[in-house]
Amino acid sequence: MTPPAPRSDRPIFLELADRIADDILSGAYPPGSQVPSTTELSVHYRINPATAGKALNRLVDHAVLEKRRGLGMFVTADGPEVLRTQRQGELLDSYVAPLLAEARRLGMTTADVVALLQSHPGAAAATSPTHTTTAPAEASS
Amino acid sequence: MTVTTTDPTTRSAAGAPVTSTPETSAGIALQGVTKSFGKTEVLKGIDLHLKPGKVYGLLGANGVGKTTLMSVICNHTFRSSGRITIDGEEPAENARILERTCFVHEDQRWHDDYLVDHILRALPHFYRDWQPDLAERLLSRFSIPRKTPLKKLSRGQRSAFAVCISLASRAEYTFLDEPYLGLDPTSRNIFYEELMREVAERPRTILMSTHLIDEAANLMEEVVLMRRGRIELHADVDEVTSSMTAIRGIDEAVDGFTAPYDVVSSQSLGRIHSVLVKGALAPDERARAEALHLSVEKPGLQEIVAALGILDHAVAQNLPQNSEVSEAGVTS
Amino acid sequence: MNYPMRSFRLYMSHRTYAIYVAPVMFLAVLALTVIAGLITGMVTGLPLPPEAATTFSGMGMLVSVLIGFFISSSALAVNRTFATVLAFGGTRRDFWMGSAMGFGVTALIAAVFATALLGIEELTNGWFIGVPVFGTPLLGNGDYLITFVAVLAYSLAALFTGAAFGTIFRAFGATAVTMAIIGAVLIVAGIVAVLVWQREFTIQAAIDLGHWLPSVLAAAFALVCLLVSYVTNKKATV
Repeated sequence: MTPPAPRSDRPIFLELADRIADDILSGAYPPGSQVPSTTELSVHYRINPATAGKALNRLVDHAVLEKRRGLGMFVTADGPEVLRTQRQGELLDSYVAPLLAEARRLGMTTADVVALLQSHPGAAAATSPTHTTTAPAEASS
Repeated sequence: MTVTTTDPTTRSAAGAPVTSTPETSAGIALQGVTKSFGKTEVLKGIDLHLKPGKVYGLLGANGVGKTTLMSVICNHTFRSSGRITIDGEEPAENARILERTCFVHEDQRWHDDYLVDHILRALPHFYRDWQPDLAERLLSRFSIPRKTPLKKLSRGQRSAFAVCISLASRAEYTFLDEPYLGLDPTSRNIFYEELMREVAERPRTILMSTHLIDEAANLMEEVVLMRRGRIELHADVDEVTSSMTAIRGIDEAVDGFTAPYDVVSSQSLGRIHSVLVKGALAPDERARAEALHLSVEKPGLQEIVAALGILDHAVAQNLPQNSEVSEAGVTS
Repeated sequence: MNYPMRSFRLYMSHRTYAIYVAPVMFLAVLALTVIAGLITGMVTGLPLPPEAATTFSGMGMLVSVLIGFFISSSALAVNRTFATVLAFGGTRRDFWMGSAMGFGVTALIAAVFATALLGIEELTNGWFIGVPVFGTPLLGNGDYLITFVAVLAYSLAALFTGAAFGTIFRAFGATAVTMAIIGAVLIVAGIVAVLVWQREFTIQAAIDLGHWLPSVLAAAFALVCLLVSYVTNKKATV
């Protein structure tokens, strides 16, 4: 129920767009399904409708959502795929760079980090190249 | 971004025909508006344009003229000079314009012997688009029985009743003056939720004064910051929050890094230094900050307002750029 | 006419003040007077002899109580309801017109009710005990038209007195109200002085007007207060 926290240095509409994107990637909104409207987002997060609209429009601009006149916003057929490609591109900046920076602060080498990653229980699950476990409705594309 | 004030001596004849274009005349427009109570000049030349369908936050310390500003727009008190138009027309004694406004004061006077019910029965005659169901829902969510005498309302209930009227009025120009006074966090959440539902379903201009800046920051589209009878800043909320960057870390590192920047405020806790600088960081600068183990964050609206010395005098006095002694007295 | 109606409805939404108080007061005075008449009747026998009946008419008390109530209720109305109407997007002019209409209705209800009770009084020969409650010199000595006009004029005078002083308070503050009261007393005293000075004219006018005299004076006073409240209202602020 709380608004997306302004934890980063990004405007709130980007945070909200990311949150909706997270839900699309997790399969909560499969392709062809409707996402919450501007009003619903605005009321739920208690944010200005203009901000909620900007978040949705950003996803429309990236072809993740499409507007159906009089009905609302729907996830496009390749919405999840678009997001995955995008996020993979951002993986380096969003996760790898901070990880390495933190490792350096802790006096770890890059090799230490690689070893740490491989020893992590989650590493085994990520060896499969596809993402069928996270996006079951992706078969159509 | 900063709105410069015009010569406060500018006078214009009230009711003079407005010659501005339709684009600029839509909404509320103020030009060189001043207001004095006796020898005290509360508004010192206000230029402001509020567009239709937007939510504005009106920020500033107590006594800077926030309530007076709203009162002169609605002609509840008379301005001393300047021009005000709502949708291109002078609002004073203009029934067609004023019927589209709703401004229940924070200390609204009610007839002592009236019940909530008496007011609610009259309201549909005041507003063409009055929402009886919404009024009913809000009253029950705020737990105000219709048979309550108005003089028996607690501080919180007075605020809640004002919120109920303001939202259900669907007035195109709605003024909310510290609407949360006496409301507990749960009731404030109800208010914020219903306010957002209303403006999402039916866009309308809301001018809301508030001291709970961070709590209300996400509700607003634009902020109007007042200081001593003038408008210090009027801008998009995102624009304001991205106009500064908060940098935090070990003192030497922070001081070294921020040396070339325009530092707005700084605070320290032991060896940790938190500094607000003007502008956003370029990607290479961000990398440099990271290399120095500095955290880079977007500051909250409240932090920025405080740093600008607008929020309150106690904070303002600690800031180097604000050496004037705070003015006492006049409540906005 | 639509805009003043909004203030009118706000005024009328409190029916006790706007409608019921005057009739209830008339009935209370009627009841008290009849009870007093019955008690007196135990000594003198019923119906009361005319000399006894005229000594305890409660109408003077009623009129003063009603006037006091009307003054305070309209002063409160212009003070508080004014702020409410402006909050709800009304204009000062429409507030004044709506409230004035409301005062008119309240006064009219009082006048109609008093006249109707006078009719019952005549039919029942003084409530069956020979007590004239409404047929007193103060209200027109049993003349329907004079009674109607007198009650209307008293009520309007009281309501607009409250409105005038209440509006002066809204526009210029508490000190101005005190000054206005002092001013009003001085003006009335001045008028009385002139009337005494020109006593032949005064006596002749009083004879000509007869039972209409109190009504005419009240109506003149109401008119002055109405004008004062109208003019001052333009300067009133929340």
